[in-house]
Amino acid sequence: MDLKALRKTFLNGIFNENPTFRLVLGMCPTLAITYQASNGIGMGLATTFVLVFSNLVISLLRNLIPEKIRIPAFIVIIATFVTVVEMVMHAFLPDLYDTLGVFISLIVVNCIIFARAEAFAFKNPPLLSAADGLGMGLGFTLAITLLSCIRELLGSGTIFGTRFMPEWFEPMAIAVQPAGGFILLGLTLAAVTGIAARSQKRKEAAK
Amino acid sequence: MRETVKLGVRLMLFALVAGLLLAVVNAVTEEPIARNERLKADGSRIAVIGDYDFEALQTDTTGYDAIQSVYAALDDDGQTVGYVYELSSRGYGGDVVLSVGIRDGAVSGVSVASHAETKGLGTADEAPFLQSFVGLTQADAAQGVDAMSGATVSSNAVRGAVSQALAHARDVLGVEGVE
Repeated sequence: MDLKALRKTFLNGIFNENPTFRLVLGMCPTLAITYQASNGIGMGLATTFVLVFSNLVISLLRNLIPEKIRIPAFIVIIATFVTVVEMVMHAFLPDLYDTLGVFISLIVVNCIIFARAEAFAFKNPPLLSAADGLGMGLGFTLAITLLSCIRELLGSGTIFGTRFMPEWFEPMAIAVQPAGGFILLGLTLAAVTGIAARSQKRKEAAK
Repeated sequence: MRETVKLGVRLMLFALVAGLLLAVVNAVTEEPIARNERLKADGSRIAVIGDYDFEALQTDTTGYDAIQSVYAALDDDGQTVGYVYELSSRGYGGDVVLSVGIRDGAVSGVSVASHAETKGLGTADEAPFLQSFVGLTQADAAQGVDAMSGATVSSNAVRGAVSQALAHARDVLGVEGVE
């Protein structure tokens, strides 16, 4: 396995196929928990952990998992890692566990994880699959942390609990509510797509 | 048919390994999780009397309008070492909800759970005020604790609540040492 392919697979998840901004997958946790920056990073890292290990294990077992029962097998593997994350978080990060609540268990049905198992890990060697999981996971983490920073800044005037807005700033309560999440996700998505399209054009012009 | 069985067995094996892994993780995390849950449920009570088990007491609180509930603090042998009162008392901006621990006939701690007073009550600034109740043995003395300056009504709410807790411990529970 050459390093270049690993790097390419890893970066693919962060930029070209960023799960949130390019594939638009995993919208449920994205909208539900991104009202606070610490939630974004916590949920992102938990998902990354599950992605890396489920990808790795599914790839290792890909010759042992019969095609016909691959879906239930994936679910068993993914659910196992999610439960591990849930128990460890409950034991050692109780505050984060309380704020993320049911959305930790719902990582099981996060479509990014399932999509990567089916589309990538089941067809590729273990190391490459782990790199894919890490890239996708960090791409997801970056995206939802960015979105949750924006929402927390507008909705509470803070980022990671530290006040950034001037005294006169009246927090916009809508930003931390689901409706505001939708609007800000749309705007962020538009901005990212716009920037990507522009750099694409510039690249072509340079050629 | 044979294939179905084969697939089923294969899936069962995966589930078995997954179950074993989860059992290991569970063994490691079980204790911290139980501790966290207990802290969440009993945190305010532990803060005023110490790390004990708590049992709700059925007791007559007629005439003590601030008392919401009374708990006995039990040590490992099930002996009662003290009592925790949960009280709600009318303050300046709304109800002040607080816990009062009574142990060995004296107040062992006061902690405010929630309030709608002017910012500050129940935070660092008020720690000395709440601390000054510790060691009191007389219901009347609780009324005489120095008020927080500029927060007389809030102070009265806390004083009244602590006084009721002590009076109830003396008259209804018959705790020794409380006057």
